[in-house]
Amino acid sequence: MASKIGVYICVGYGIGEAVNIEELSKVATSEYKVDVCKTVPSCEAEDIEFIKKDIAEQELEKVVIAGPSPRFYQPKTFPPNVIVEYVNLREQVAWCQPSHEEDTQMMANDYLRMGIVKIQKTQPLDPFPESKDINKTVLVVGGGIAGLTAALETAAAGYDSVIVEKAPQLGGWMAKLKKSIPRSAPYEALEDPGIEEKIKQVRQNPKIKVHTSTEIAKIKGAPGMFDVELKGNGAAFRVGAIVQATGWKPYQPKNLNHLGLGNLADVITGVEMEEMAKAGSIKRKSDGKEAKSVVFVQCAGSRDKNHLSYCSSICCLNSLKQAAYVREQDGDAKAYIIYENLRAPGHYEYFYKKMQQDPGVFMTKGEVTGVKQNGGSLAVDVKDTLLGEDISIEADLVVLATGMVPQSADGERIRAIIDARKFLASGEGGPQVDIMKKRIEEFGHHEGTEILNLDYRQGPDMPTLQYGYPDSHFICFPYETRRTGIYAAGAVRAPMDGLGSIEDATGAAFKAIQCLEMLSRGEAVLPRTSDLSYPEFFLQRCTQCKRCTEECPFGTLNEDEKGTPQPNPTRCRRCGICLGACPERIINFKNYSVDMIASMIKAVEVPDEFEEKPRVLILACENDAYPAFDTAGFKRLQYSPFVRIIPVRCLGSVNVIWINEALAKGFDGVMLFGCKYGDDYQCHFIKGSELMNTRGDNVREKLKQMALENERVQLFQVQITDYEKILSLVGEFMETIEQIGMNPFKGM
Amino acid sequence: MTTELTTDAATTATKTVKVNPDLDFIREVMAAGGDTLKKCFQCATCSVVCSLTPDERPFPRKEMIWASWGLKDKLISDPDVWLCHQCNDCSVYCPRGAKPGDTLAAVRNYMFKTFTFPSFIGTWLSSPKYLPLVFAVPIILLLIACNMGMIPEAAGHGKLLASQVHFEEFLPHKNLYFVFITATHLAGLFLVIGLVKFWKVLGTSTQTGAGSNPGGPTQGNIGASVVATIKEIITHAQFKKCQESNHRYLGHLGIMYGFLLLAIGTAIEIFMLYALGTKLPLPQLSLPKILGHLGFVALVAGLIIVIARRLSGKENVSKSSYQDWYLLLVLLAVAITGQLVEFVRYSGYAGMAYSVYFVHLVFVFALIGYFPYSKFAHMFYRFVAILHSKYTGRDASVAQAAA
Ligand SMILES: Cc1cc2nc3c(=O)[nH]c(=O)nc-3n(C[C@H](O)[C@H](O)[C@H](O)COP(=O)(O)OP(=O)(O)OC[C@H]3O[C@@H](n4cnc5c(N)ncnc54)[C@H](O)[C@@H]3O)c2cc1C
Ligand code: HEM
Ligand code: SF4
Ligand code: SF4
Ligand code: SF4
Ligand code: SF4
Repeated sequence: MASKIGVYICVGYGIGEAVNIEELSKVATSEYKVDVCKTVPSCEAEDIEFIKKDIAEQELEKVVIAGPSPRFYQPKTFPPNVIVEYVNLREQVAWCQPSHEEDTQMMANDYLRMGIVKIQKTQPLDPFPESKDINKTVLVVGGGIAGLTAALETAAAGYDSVIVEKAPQLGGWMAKLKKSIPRSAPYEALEDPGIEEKIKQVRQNPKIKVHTSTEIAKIKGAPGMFDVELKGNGAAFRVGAIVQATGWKPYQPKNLNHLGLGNLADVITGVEMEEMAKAGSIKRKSDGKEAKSVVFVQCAGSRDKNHLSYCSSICCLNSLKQAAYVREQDGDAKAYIIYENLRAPGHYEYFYKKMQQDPGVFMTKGEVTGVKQNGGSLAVDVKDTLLGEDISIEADLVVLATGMVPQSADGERIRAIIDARKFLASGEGGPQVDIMKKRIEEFGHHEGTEILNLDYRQGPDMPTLQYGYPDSHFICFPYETRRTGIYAAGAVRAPMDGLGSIEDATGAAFKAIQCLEMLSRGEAVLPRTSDLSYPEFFLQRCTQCKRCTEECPFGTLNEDEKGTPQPNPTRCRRCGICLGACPERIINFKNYSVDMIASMIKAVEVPDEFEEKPRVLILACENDAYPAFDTAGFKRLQYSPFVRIIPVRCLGSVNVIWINEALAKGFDGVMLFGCKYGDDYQCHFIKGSELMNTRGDNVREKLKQMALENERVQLFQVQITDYEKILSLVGEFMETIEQIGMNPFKGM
Repeated sequence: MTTELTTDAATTATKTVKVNPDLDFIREVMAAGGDTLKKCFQCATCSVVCSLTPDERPFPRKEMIWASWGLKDKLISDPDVWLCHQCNDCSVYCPRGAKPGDTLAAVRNYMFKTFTFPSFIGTWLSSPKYLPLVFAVPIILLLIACNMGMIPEAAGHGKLLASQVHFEEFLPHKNLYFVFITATHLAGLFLVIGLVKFWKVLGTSTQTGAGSNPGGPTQGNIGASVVATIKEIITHAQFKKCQESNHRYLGHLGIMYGFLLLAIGTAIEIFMLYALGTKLPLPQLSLPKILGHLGFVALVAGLIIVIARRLSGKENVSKSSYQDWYLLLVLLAVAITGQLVEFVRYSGYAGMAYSVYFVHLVFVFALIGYFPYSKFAHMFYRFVAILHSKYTGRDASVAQAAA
């Protein structure tokens, strides 16, 4: 039974002047025969009150408000059972098109048609059924300073947590330090690492359960319902969210022979130096004599494309700290620090300044060209120094500041090996065999590194971003990873110090709690925060092509033996990428479906006369590109009246059928606007725009079948600030269309 | 002036040198007024703002890291330490408060303290704790030298005519000469030995010859270098370039010329006394007296300018060292007690006249008896260093300016 639909057209903000409202109303009343169609003078509070009253009086279930952009204006005061849809007549019509033009009117009419069609196809939302069954315990993997903090913060917020620690004792690396760099004002004196206190608090907290000397054997399920099984003690329990705080391990540099690592006894790493200092005095390994001259070599295997290309951010501070150990041990001892850039971020600058003041600490920029044995001691040669010449320093001990690497596992690679092995075991032949063998060789070392042992189709651990860090976009989505409900914190997420790890773990704990609370209300987490919709699969028609299970950037979908997807709404972020992927078009949301967008496209009136009125469909990512169009309107920048913009959840949610529909309908071209992809992606769903790009092959295939030019469908990467660029892209595209001429399918 | 910072590295010889920081040296320089030296983080702002440095291998940035690394040999042989006039333009602009101006002054203080044999005298002059000893020496020597019998007599004298105040009787000139001539000559001898060593050591410096324009008119020509050096000093051509403390050079002009006038006046007086047999005291309008009075005015005026500047200066830019105050106050004391001697002599109170005379002589000893070991020696070190840098082409820009 069709729902009662009301349309309210706002005539304020210049809309009434730009378009003929009467004519526009006819679209609603004559074409679509909606139950109510009224105008309102503007969309201010009193108008909304009027609409609300009208909704109640007319008993409307669905309401279209044609007026300002939903991005600038979205009153949340409508009753929850009423479905509201906004048609953007202000930013994307009145403010970017000339008034009283036929083309402007046609544009407004089309947008209203699309709006009405959309709301007709929208079904009321209900929370997914699993939301009633959300477990609110947080699992913390790793009991270093980050893990301990995450557990304590979780407990302080009133939630239970379980720590699983591989080592027999808690504390991680912080417990292995002799002293910590200063972490409180005036940031000058070395401090006790303070980890014992944290361990005590954890042990005494009734809301925290601790398992040591064990690891995760298996995690089944999904956020809100993870079933955890431990190795060793075999404990099994259920948790809702996970904080992975497995920390770091020292980078083991190879090919640093010129620095003597591995072949000179008195050349050690910062980690070894710390162990030695903690154990007692700082001595030469070769003869056990106290070290009176110690040279620290910074960036040993860091910020170097042949080693770690990043900065570990802590080793400079650590060398300053260890220089203090050397100086404390003997007032006449000398500590040299040879750096490329000495990095003491934030308040640590005070510590650097303090150490600088010590007469026995010597620092210079320079490049260590060699460390050689010279009689009983070492000769350290340094070039390009601030002293104006190349120098050689006599040293008892040389300490290499090597960086840190994450104690993470690369889920995608591990899964690639598993798949390769499966393939080889299947006995299938063909060229694939060699590829698979190569893959095993290349990724083999990832086997056995599993940490979370997730039961996810896309691999047992989190996908990593760069350099093995399981992070997400660090600016847009801090604390997020590419697995819903699992948050990385501390040195496993990015190289960081103890203070940073505390902050990071606090953030991750709150993210975990927030996730559990939202799941229990049936809502999605970032970036479609609070969205109640979720993908539904009409599996009777599934062909087991596995596109959805492969493409979901969040590993939402598992497969049964046949390869049929098994939805997990609590893992899902509602990007709609599965919807875009499915060739059978059987994945849909109640308020976002293949049929809905296709119908919207079909609702557009495409005139037959190309010369005056070409038509271009724009599918714009609602996160960046769509707001950029709004900004263009806001700035009163004009663009072609022949485009029709439809916002999509993510460019990855574009189902190729929509493009086909548009071309069949007579649109002369389709522009796809998404976010930047690649290593430094800006896509809100990580892979969406990239995936759309790879689907381009299908599109080109279709274009070929239809004997259409490739240029008719193009993908562009833009960001929210690109409102000027976006318009010039539209301009250029319109010219291209002009050149290649009319879509021959027009009017057919 | 533009300072090419990159040439610093570009012109560097590639041979590797062994470095071994001298921790005690660092501690000493820090104690001698360079306590901020370690704050330097080598940004080179100081070298850019300094108006006196040559363009090549400019100072004081490199001196800052040498000091921070305790590279004593480098600093001792560094002419630039003496080309610096402590204008403190650098210290005003240093973003770290490392006070390069004070640091170089501290290195100079270190040189006064240690460079001239026997260095224990340098130690006496380096710290206020030895002040009693520093004054005890001339007091004892002069007490021994004076006519002890005169003391009670002089004390017993009432008011006398000026002509009846006989300093010669109180302290026989031959005794006086014995004390002063021995002391200054010995000191002078040691200084000369020290300066010869200094000249040699300057030759080992890495920036010797690294002038803005090597091969300038003075390079390799000792005669021209001496002329250029003297010209620079008498005109204060470099001193004038200081930005921050631009009227300090006026103070120094007054002090230097005042001191010279007094010295010349004294020389003429001695000449008149012995060669011409003129009787003392000289009349007020005699040449020595006129030079003396002019010198006194110039010296005191200069001292007032300089002392006022030191008192009003900002601590975060520069802090005066003990060596600075020693020279200024001893000079002031010499000038004032010298003038007082005149006044008391005319007042006719013999006891007072003899005591003031005695005090004056003690201060004169404090000034010239120890001259190689106090900041007073700066003129010699500076002369040598300026000369050396002109002679070796380090200071070509200055030579050109003077030419
Ligand atoms: C040489 C050096 C010196 C440093 N000095 C300082 C300093 O003075 N001050 C300072 O603030 N920071 C210092 N840091 C940084 C500091 O070590 C890190 O910031 C901090 O350890 C990060 O804490 P974390 O909890 O994230 O990781 P970690 O300390 O590495 O703790 C991770 C924990 O997880 C456990 N774990 C790992 N894998 C598993 C698994 N599969 N299952 C279960 N548990 C697992 C580990 O056993 C460990 O207990 C230094 C770093 C280096 C390299
Ligand atoms: C060769 C000749 C001389 C040169 C090149 C010279 C140079 C300088 C320079 C560059 C300074 C400033 C730096 C510093 O304070 O150390 C200075 C300071 C000083 N000079 Fe000279 N000088 C010379 C002769 C003299 C003479 C003859 C006197 C008189 C006794 C004198 C008295 C002083 C005093 C008192 C100061 C300290 C000023 C202050 O405190 O700011 N100088 N001299
Ligand atoms: S912290 Fe310092 S030593 Fe470590 S990688 Fe960064 S710059 Fe290099
Ligand atoms: S692709 Fe997106 S919408 Fe689909 S299941 Fe994955 S997260 Fe959910
Ligand atoms: S994409 Fe569609 S057809 Fe393919 S496996 Fe997923 S649901 Fe089935
Ligand atoms: S002394 Fe000051 S201005 Fe000069 S290099 Fe050092 S920090 Fe920079």
